[in-house]
Amino acid sequence: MKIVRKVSNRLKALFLNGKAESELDDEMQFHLEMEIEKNLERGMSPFEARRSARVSFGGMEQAKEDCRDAWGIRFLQDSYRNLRFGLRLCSRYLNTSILAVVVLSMGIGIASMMYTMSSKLLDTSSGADLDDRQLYIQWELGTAQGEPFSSHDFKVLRSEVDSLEDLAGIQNSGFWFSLPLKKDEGKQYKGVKVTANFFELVNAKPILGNSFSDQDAQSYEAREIVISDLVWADFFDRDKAVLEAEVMLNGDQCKIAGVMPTGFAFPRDQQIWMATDWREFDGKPRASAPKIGVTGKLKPGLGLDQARAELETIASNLAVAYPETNEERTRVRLTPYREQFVDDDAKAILYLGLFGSLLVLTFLSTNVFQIIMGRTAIRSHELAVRRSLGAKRSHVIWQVVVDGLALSGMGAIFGIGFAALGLRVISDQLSVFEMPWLHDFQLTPGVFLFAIGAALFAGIGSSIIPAWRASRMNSFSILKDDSRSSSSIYIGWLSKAMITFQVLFSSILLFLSVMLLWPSLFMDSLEMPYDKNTVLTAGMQLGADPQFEEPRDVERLYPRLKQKLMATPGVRAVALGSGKFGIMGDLRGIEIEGEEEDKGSSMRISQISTATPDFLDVYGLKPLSGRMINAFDSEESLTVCVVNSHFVDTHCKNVDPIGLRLKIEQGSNGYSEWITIVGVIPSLMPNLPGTKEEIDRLFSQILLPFAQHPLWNPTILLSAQNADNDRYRLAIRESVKELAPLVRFQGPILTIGEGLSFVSRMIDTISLGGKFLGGAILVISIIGLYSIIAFTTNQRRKEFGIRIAVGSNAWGVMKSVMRPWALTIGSGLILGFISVLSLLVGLHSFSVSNGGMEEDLRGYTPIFLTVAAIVGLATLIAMIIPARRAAKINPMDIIRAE
Amino acid sequence: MELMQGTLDMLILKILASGKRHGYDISKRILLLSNSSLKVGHGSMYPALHRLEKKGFVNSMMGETARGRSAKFYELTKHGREQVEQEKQQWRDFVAVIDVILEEG
Repeated sequence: MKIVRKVSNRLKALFLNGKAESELDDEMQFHLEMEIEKNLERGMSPFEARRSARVSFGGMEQAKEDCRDAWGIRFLQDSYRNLRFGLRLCSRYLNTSILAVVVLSMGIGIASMMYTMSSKLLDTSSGADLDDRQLYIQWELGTAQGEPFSSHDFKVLRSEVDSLEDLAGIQNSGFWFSLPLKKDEGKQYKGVKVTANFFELVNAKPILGNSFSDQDAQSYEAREIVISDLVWADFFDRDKAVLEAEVMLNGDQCKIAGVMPTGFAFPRDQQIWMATDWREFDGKPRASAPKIGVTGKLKPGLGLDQARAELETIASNLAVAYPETNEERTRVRLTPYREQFVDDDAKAILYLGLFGSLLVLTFLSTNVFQIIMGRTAIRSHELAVRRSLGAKRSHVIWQVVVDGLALSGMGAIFGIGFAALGLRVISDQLSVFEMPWLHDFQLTPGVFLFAIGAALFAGIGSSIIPAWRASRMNSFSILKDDSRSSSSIYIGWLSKAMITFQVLFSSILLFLSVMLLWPSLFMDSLEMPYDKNTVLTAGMQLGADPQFEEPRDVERLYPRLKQKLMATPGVRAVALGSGKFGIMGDLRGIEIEGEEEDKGSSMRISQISTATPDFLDVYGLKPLSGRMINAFDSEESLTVCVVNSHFVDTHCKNVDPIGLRLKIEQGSNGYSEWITIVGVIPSLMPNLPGTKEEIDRLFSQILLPFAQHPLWNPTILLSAQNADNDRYRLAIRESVKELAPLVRFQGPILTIGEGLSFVSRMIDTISLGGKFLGGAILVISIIGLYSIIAFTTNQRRKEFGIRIAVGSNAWGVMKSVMRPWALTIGSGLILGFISVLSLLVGLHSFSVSNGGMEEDLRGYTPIFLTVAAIVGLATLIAMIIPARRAAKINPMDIIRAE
Repeated sequence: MELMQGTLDMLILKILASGKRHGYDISKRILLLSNSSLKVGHGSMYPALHRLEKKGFVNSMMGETARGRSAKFYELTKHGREQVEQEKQQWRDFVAVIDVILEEG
């Protein structure tokens, strides 16, 4: 009851404040009049009676202040009054207010964008309702990443496990989605093949239609699929008649069973879900089975250890039954699904993002600090009057802090708008990737809360020191000699330290933003030793088709496939290769005949790829020496390889490589048999920057004959003048479908140029962020520095007027304005240089200790020089405007004002 | 004589125990009852009244004086009456203890 009464009293006092004030006035007036009447009755003159009553009462204003304190709403009243006052101040000092609001809105906007993007990138639920019992299950092989299960192992685990409610399998897949009569007007989407229980297990329901039944997973004719809201909008304009519509998926006819709600893209950024049970791999060699992600839900009341123990018992039985594939796979890794994709790297990104936001906020607080310090110094007379009238120190502090909060409040409003605009630009830039987790940035309630927190941080952080210093001012001195005392609260070691920190922060942040521009410049200058738009690549999954019992069987498909593709007008060459775009291979250890085993063993690594004899024809290149792999390099003949020029420069310096023999590391099975080098081919790698030694080591490559080292997942390479023309993609799809209907493609069919521009687009977006950040920091820096230099110059107007009057020229005055700041700004630049260098050395050491390449830090000199030039120019602009203004002072105006 | 710190609230409550009064009346009453020995600073009495009202010991209302002037009157609440008795007892105990120390000393 006591609390209710208190609250009701306070609310009454707050809302009836006008009435309470009027009652207080009346009460005091009544007292005074009664005392006057009494004095008159005693025979005093009216003047004396009034004077005596006033003296007897004491300080009436102080008594009123004490009464207001007693009401207990003082804080709220003061805040409201100070806020109104703060807003009036904003219009009175319009220039500094606009500067502060611009700085704050940029800073809060950038910080909110960084927060939105980091939190979005770390949200791995992709619209699914996951709880802590939802697990991601993999083989534990003691490496940083676990290994997915094969479909064979998954089926055994699923049938035997008891501690989990059920297991769902997930296999990522690329789908070419089109309508039956418009096969060429389709679109590539990321999709996933899942077990029929998938949606049930992740607590997701379609907004339209149904999810899968067990029959859907078993039926391979006119399969049912579930599509995302995005696909529904793209192809059906969200028409509800979409259900049961017939569509083409990678050329196969399918039916749409359901549509998922907006934002659902589980497990990561998928748009199409197809039910499967991987039966096509049943009875096939275990090595050919696809690797699939596995998720399961722990039964209530059971712990991770119990589930792990049970799964590892099943795994041990598998290892006994299938030692050739499962001997080392006896331990499992169980991770709560929500944490699976938030690994240490992702956490580091989050912390880096939050640290960056904090850095930006601190930086902007330093700038706003300077602006508020200047405003407070100008207001020192008014604050001194308030102090003299009885205001406590806390009241003065709160008045200045509310001024800061009024500015940061406005900054937050514009900052959110700024963030919304920035996120829209970035989203548009990234939308081509069809990855909602990467581009669908929304302003959630969490972002608004973050912006409010950022505004409070910036508002209080930037005003508390000026407020504290203002509350300690000597009111008497201020009222006696306003200008000298007021500037004393402002100019001092603290302001100079702030300027130094500001230049330091600007240098660090600008360096980071210029670093973000670098990859884009690098991508623009990237060149391949052939025309990258003439080679189309398509990764195949042979294991999906029962006609292939082993990888070697592709030899039955390839000649016919090549014949069909070569018949397509415009096709110049066709080959099979391995790895990404057919050029990047697996990095493995090698041993060269005649070399001591332990000598420089860490240097003996190379990329290993596999190719058909026509491989170089696709790129329009010829062997440099020896011969290329040819049709005689069969399973029965001598095992041979060709190496690229980087390999020769790295491993065969001063030695003719032709005829040399080497062995390749084969996982836990040791090394392969001796393989003879029969030829040297030119490099197919891009012109990366770096020393020749580094590049040679990175791109050293061994090419093995496909016939001797067949693969389950080869890449088709097709050469044509305009290989990005859709007819070549269609030709590959149609030809493969005709010859091997069940073979699937891995990912989209792209030219090497398209693949690079995919990466380039992403890098361009990062670069855009760098430009955005760099521009904002420059504007903020100039504003912050300008505000303090302009203020101090203004305080010295009289001095400059006298100097000009006694004959000083404009340049002399300008030097006098700039000289005091040159040392402070110079110190900031030097500290910034040292900090950035320490940061670089630290990152480089960390990278090298984690297996990264040694790098010459002198390569960063252009960035250093660019940043130093930009910061130098910015500080010069900030100094030169007030200096020029000082040089134009008319001495007569100063003398007249005196 | 200056009032001892903390006693003003008790005196105001005691004065109001005899009925509702306005601020000026309370200050005159204290002066009268103390034979003009205790001078209450008006600047401290009004904040004390407002504080007691906030604590719920007194209520205020607008009323008319005997001369027909409008003024703000204060009266004790039930809670205030209990507080008067409690403070009187505390004061007596305090004085007794101080007396003992002074006598013994």
